[in-house]
Amino acid sequence: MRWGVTAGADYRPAPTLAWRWKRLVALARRNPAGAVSLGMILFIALVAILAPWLAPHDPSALGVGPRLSKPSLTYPFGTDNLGRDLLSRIIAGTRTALIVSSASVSLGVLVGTALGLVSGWFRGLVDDALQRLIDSLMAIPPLVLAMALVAVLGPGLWKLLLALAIFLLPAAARTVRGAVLSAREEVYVEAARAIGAPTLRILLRHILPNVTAPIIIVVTVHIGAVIISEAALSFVGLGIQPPMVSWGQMLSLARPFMESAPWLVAFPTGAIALTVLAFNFLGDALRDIWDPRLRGST
Amino acid sequence: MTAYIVRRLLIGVLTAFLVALFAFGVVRIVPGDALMLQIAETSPRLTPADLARIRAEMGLDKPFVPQFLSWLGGVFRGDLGNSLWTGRPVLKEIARTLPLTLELAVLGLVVATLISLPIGILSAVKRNTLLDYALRFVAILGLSIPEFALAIVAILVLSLTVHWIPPTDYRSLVEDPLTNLQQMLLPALIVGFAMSAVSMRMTRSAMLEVLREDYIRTARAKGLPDRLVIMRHALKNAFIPVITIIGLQARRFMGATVIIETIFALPGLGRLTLDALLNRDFVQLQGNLLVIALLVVLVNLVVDLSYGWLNPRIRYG
Repeated sequence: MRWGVTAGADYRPAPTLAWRWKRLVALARRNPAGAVSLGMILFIALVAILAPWLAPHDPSALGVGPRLSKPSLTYPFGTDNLGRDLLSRIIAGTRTALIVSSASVSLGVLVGTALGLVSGWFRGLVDDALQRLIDSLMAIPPLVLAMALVAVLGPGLWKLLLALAIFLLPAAARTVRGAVLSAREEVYVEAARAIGAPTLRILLRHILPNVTAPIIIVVTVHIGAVIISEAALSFVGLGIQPPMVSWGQMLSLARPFMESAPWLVAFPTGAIALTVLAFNFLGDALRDIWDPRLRGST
Repeated sequence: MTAYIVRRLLIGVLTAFLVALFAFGVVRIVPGDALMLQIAETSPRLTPADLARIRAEMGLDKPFVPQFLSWLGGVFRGDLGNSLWTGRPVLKEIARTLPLTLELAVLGLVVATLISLPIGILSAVKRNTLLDYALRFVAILGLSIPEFALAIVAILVLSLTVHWIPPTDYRSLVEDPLTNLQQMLLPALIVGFAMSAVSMRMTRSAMLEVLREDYIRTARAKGLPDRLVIMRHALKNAFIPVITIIGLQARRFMGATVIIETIFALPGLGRLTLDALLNRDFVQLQGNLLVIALLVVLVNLVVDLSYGWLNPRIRYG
């Protein structure tokens, strides 16, 4: 029963676990593609986490089986030219792809969000300068920029992560800036300022929560591009170095033997495509859910 | 309109300057010693004297600002220095390789448009049918397979099934048009397919947006056949957002060519860039970065200007 309406009163019961689960099922039903892709991603993540226990062989061990043997019951994905088990290598590559992409995406989001917050909050000259810088950063193709950074910094996992973080940075900064620009006009921000809350607190407690949904969308949409770029960098020898295994590196090693052993190309390509496909579908689904205006677009 | 053009041009010039700063700065985010170590490790045959000469040539012994200004001065005189690897002028190497990459870009764009426009329209008109889902799935697939993997698979499938591999010895369009087109066909199809994925999704959503407009209802109400409504009234307006993403596509394309040209053994700007990267030829690299980024800036400038011309609402924004 609601007698008088008190400002801001909310009589909705606190969501129970069962209620949340029901909502999730309803969402999944409306978004089958999103649900399937989420399942795929969970599966891929599980493979990545359990990689050392799942892989039947050491992914780098030579001569585990005969050289270039076709996919069979013993070697489900076949073996490569050095007799390494391809299934174990694909599994190890899954781990690499997910570690590299999630770490570099986090880094890109962190820096991008900070830039976006500063840009949107202070506006004026700071904003103009940052936006022009991002504009010109965006003029260099991210893949080429990442390659150039690796060439300059030298090999190494951390340097690779740093280089790949570039992919997300502009989009994250732009998205956060947009959200800040609209949120800073809200009454609750004015109220927070009126009671003398420090800028940093306003930014982190009142503005940042508005940005969560768009940032998650940016992440899912870009994570595929990051995975592809890691593969591309490793393919040309500027990315993951042995003994770490990467799908792109596997593809480049497969090239001389591909006509006699096409499975060496098929499995890494399939692994990349499936993983990126799952993230792209999830990105589309999340955008449909959180941003109905864009439903079915791009 | 004039104010819009002038403002856009000024921003373009500013961006170009910052782009030059980035292209030059990327190579110098590490101290000179670390950079020289990269060069020395990549080419062990260089003597300490060679390395000292390279160091001086790159200006690494001077602070950043004078280095940059002297390089920028060179850019305006058309002198980007000499390649550390071949010793040839950087600009000459770029001029030699650029036509191939531009040809690939044009062919790729044609392929992308031929695929994405009809499919995007079809997908929008038949939206939420099985056909629409299938087409959209193919588009997402196009976004999910890296171009280089697609290239390898395409080469593999063609050589295994019809025993055809593109001619390896490169001939330019002027020298031998027939061989050239045989060599460019597959790479153009691959970059075109990759580009079409984004365009198709954009075309579809733009069409959907336009199809909801009142003037479409009016056109239908006065009895125009569906085909005419779509071609005459809808497509024209849906085309505007599609054009704007050509700017984004240019960036993606320049990234893709780096690997695609290498896989297909095409001596273009992309391959020149990858060679410079792998050889740690930083002088060539900074020149290539500059030219690539300037091309992207230019394409975006043209797109923005044509956007203002196509859509009067923008001019007065």
